[in-house]
Formats: sequence, C-alpha cells, structure tokens
Amino acid sequence: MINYFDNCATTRVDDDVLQILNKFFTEMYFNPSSLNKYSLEVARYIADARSRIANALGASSPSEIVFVSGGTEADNLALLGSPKRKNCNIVVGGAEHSAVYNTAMKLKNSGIDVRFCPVTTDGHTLTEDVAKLVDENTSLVAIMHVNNETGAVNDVKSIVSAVKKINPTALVFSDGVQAVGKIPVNLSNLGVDLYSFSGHKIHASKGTGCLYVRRRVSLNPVLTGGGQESNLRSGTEYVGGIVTLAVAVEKAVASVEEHSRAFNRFKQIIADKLQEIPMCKVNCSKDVSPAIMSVAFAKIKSEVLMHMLENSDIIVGMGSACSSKNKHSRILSAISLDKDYIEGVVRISFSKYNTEEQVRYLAEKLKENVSLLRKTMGVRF
Amino acid sequence: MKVILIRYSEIHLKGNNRGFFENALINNIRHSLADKKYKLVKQSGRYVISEFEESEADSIVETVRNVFGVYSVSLADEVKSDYEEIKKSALAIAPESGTFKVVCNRADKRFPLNSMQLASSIGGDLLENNGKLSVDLHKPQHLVNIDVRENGKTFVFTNSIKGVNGMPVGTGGKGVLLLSGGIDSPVACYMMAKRGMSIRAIHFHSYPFTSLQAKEKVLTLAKILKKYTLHMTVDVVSFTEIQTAIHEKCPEEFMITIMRRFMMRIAERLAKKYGCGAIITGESLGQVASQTLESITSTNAVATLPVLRPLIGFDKDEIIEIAKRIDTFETSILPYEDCCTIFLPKNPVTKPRLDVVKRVESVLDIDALVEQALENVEIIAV
Repeated sequence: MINYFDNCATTRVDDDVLQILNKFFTEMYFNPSSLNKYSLEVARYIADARSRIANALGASSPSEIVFVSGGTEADNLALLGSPKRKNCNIVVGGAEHSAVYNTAMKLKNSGIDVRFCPVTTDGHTLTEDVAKLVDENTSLVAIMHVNNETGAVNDVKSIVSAVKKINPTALVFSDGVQAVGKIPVNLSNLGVDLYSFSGHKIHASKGTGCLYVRRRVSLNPVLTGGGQESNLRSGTEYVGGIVTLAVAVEKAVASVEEHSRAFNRFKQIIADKLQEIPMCKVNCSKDVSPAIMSVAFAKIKSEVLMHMLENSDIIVGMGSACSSKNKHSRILSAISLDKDYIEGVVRISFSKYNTEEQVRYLAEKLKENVSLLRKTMGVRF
Repeated sequence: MKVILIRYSEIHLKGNNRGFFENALINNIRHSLADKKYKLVKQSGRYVISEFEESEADSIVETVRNVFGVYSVSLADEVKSDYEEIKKSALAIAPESGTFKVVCNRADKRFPLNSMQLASSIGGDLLENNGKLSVDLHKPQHLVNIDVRENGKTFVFTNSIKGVNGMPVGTGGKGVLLLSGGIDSPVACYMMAKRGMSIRAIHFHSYPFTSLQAKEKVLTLAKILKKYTLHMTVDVVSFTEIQTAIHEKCPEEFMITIMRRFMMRIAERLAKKYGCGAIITGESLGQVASQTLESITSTNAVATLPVLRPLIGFDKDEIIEIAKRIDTFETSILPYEDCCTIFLPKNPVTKPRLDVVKRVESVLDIDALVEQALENVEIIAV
C-alpha cells in the first residue's frame, strides 16, 4: 500500500465522486447549452452545484461562483481579467504559487508596475507590509490564503480591510487552493473580491476549479467563445466535474474541524520523532495549515530523501523544486532559509485517507533515511 | 506516377567493397520504412521508391533523408519518354515565379532531342506558360530537372532535398556509447552513427540519488537517436554502490576522475561482451574538469579499446547546434540530475596525475565493484 503524504500536489478521488462522475460520462453526457430536455436537466445540475458551493463557502450569491478548469486557470482569470487602469500598479505576495507569480511577471513584462511584497521567515505575508505597497493607483492585490510550500496562513481578512482603507477601488484576490477544505473559509467574511480554488486538492477530479467573483466586480474573460459561465469562461462545461466539485467541497468543508484535529495529531507525532534527528527544523509553526508540514533537514538533498522514502512506499513532496544546482525554490528563498537547509526541505501534506499508523511509519522512516543518507554523504555534525 | 529518387553519398568512392556498402544502405532504408508500403529498386547508381501512398510521400522523403549514406532525395514525376508527357509534367511542377534553369540528362540516346535541345525547348514552354518566370543559367532560384532514362521512362523533378550524408550504419563497426542524458553524448552518438557505426548505449544511474525521471529521459533520448542508429539498446548500470564507495573512501577532489575510470572499465567489459570495438564518449577538450587532457589521460588509461571522442574539438555552441538539428536538445535540457552531478566536489582536480589517481583509488576493491555493477545491468531495447 502507498503511504501518500503529498496531498498538496493532488489527492485521491473519493469513491462517491467517481461514481457520480461516471454517470455524467455515460448517462448524463448532454451539453448544457443545447435546447433538448436532457440538456436542461444537466444545466440544472450545474445551477445546483453553484449554489451548493456558494453556500458551503459563504458566498452571498451563487452567481459569484465561476467554474473553470482548476487553480491555474482561476488565478490567470483573476490576474489577467481584472480591470487595469492607466498607470495602475499591482501588489503581489512574495511567496505566491507559480500560477500567480508567473502571470504577474507576464503583466510586469507588459509594462505594468508589479510590486512584490516581502514574506516573513516562516512564509507569512504581513498586512502592514502589503499596506506599505498599496496606493491610490493600485488596481489589484494578490495574496494567497495558505502557502503551498510552508502551509503559512495569511490573515486575508485584515489584508482586505487594510487595502480598502487605503484604496477602496483596489480589488483583492486570494489564491485559496490550499485553503478550501483544509481551514475554515467564509468568503463574505474574508471580504475578498476574487478567490480561487481547485477540486483535485480535495478529492474531486483534476480539471475542476472555481473563481469566486464578488458581486459587482467585473472581469474581462480570458477565454472567449460560447459565452458560458456568464461570459467569463467560455467552453462546454465539465458537468460531471462541476457536480462532483460541489460534493467534494461540501464534504471537505463539513469535516475541516475533525480533520484538523487529526492532522495536528499527526504533526505532533512527526514533531516528536524530529526531536531525535539532529539539525532539522519545521519551517512554519505559527498560523499554519494543519494539512501541511514543511520540514528542513540540514546537509541533505530532499530529492534523494524522497526517492529513499518511495522505496518504502512513502510519497512526500519536495519543498523545493530545485532541479539543478543553484536553482532553489523561489518561495524557500523568499523565506530566507539557511543555505544548509534549503536543499533539504520535505513537504508532508495530509489527507483524510492518512492514518496514525501511516504517520508513525513515515516518522520512523524519515529518521532512518535521514541518518542513512547523512552517513552515506559523510555528513557529520 | 510519383516516385522518390534517392542518391547516395561517398559509397560511390568505394571500389571492390561497393556492394557491401550498397547493400547496407538499401537494408537501412528498408528498415526505416518498415511500416510503409512501397517498391524499392536500384536504377543506374541510385534508388527509386515507387508504388507508395501519395499521402505518405513527404513522410517517406523525411525518413529517407535521415538515413546515413543518403546524399539527397527528390520527389519526382515518372512519365513516358515522350516530349508532350515531359512538357505536361514540367508545367505542373514548375515554380510559380522567380528564375529557373532546366537541367537535362539524356541516358537514352534514342530520344530525338539531345540534352541541350530538350532543356531549351522545355524552358521555352515554361516561359511561354508563365510570365512571372525568367531564365537564369548561372544562379537560378529553381531547377527543373529532366532525366531521360534508358528504360523509356523520364523523371521530372524540381529541387532535391539534402540528405544527412555519411556512411550506412553497420558499415563502420560496432561501438558502445556512454549516454548520460546531457547535451553532448547524444550528439557523439549521432556523429559516430553518421560514419557508419552501429551503436548501443550504456547509461549509469544512481537511484535514489538520481530520479527515475532521469533514466526515463535517457530512454527518450535513445528513442530519438534510434532514428539515426536504426537499432538501439540501452544497458542501464546501477552506479550507486560505486559512487558511495568512492565518496566514502577517496579524496573528494578525485571523485569525478575515479568515477569516470569506473565507467570506462564497465563500458569496456560490456563492449567486449557485445563484440563492440570502440567506446564512444561526448567529451570535448577542456569543457569541464573531467575533460582536460590530464583527466582524459587518467580515464583513458583503464581502456584497451579505442575511445572515440567525436566532439573533442567542438565548442559547446557547435554541439548545441547539432543537438537542436537532431532533435535531442529539448530532451537533454530537461532538469533531471544525472549521476555526474551528485557528490559533486567543490574543487575537482583538473590535472590529475595518473600515478596519484591509481594510488588514491587503490583503497577500493575495484574488481568486486565492477563485477557487482555488471551483475545488475538492466538491458532495455528502445
């Protein structure tokens, strides 16, 4: 059996999700835009899914939910589709996911003033740091809700109110891909204008996701065509994906507390074992998502550790996607991780399918392999 | 009827062995066209492919031009050796505008017009038919070739597509290639295959220090190279034990030198096992610490077979240019580490002395490590 601890990368699809999906592939496969009676029925399924998701996430109206193909598309729509005035600027968090970072760089290259906000050593973006960069010309602020590498949870609500105080017309967008279903999310309460999330991180299928667009916020579509999704996202709807996304969101949101308790227990088990390993540290321990644990081991290459663990049927993520020498993770560099540690970051991310027994096995194997690897590499402290 | 004309390169220089080279070339062309229906015959010093699906013409031309030994390829019309037929075909394939020249070759002396007369007459027809064309006998933009054959048939064709030249694979002996996954070794493979060498590859991998993706990348490269080498087998040798032993027992700065000596020993053993007469590497003089003359001397010392280094005098830019042309570059630059980049010493020795190298590696049980590596070779036919 695989002990899968890379649930930030993607998750196993739930059995009920798969069953429902199947039905939409083989029985209810009609195009919701067609004018036959079956199409009307599938269109109703989409409307139902929209209102269920709006309810589960505290949106004020189902019309605020726009279905897209996943987190990356939602992030692109938010950044590229939000209106930009002449001489405007955009404020972007310093530890954003590539889908936001690279899209912001694209805007920067097209001549827009893009301002990157610093991050703290544990990966948080602070409200006061954001506020310093916002002015009357700011058109968009993009700060992620939960960091995908360290799990740091940003205080999006306070960021929104600080931004609006300086410039009420600036839109605030938050990438919630690692937040929905992992920590409590209430969109109205957060006050954001735009918020993205993805289905495959919460046991729905790949190719599903949403952009929340607060009422009266107007975006320009990135994809044009048949005018689906109130003209914001043309293309025939992935009906089964949309319906099952609603199922997955409802389930994940309903069990956030229960899972958080379990995940925090898992973290404690690992933390206890880490005490026995010299020169290692947890990258973010305050205001952090229970589902993510980023651990750095000094003088180790995380890729090698990852392969050693996979030999014991354990899958973890690499904190740093460093693929060649001197090319470290942008985010881990942003949190100023010491050079001895920066190559040795492992990201452990939990799902409801993980058991305490698996976590104990992981903790044991971490200790065993870190020690073996350090011995092989001739590392001594 | 459409036909494809294939001209071959230096084979015509061969004397008594010419048949051997010609047979190899024809076999290689047949091998690369194995999934196609066609007829291939030899006709006065060239090959003619006919009876193929016309929709496949471009793909056949592209395949054949990449077979080593092929000088050029033309897609031609085959018509009866009759003036009106030839004219009709020439009008159909003629360029729409620009300058042109008609080149005739009359092997069939019974044809009523000689080469000069036929060329000027067809040229006149083309001019008359299309006002946008003009004749330039010295630097024409287009050629219209007319080849009157002895069998009563004539080939009419415009430009020839250049082939990759070289010698047919299989006529230049057999060699093993050290294939790392970087930019250079696939190019070295191409260069030797171009001179007719049959090649099989050896890849050293160091799982878990390198990923399975790195090995997959090498197999992808091997598949691309197969287009030129026609056959390709990769012997994947696990190098982890050897690397960790060197790392543990030898001075750090000699890591790469000693590692490469092991690679050479294993390559030689495999070469002999497979009846190969040479070892091929992608080394280029001075490119990295392990490719200085002194380093090459150290690694060369463990080999008795000739070590061929076709890139030795190439600059990186030149190598990259070939890598792009042979379609290996984009795969080579995928970011998976190969076994050379782990345990990388901070200051590798650039001028190792052979006696020192021998002394520092003598702490290792070299034979046992080589035997152990040879026992666990994974042979993958791509």
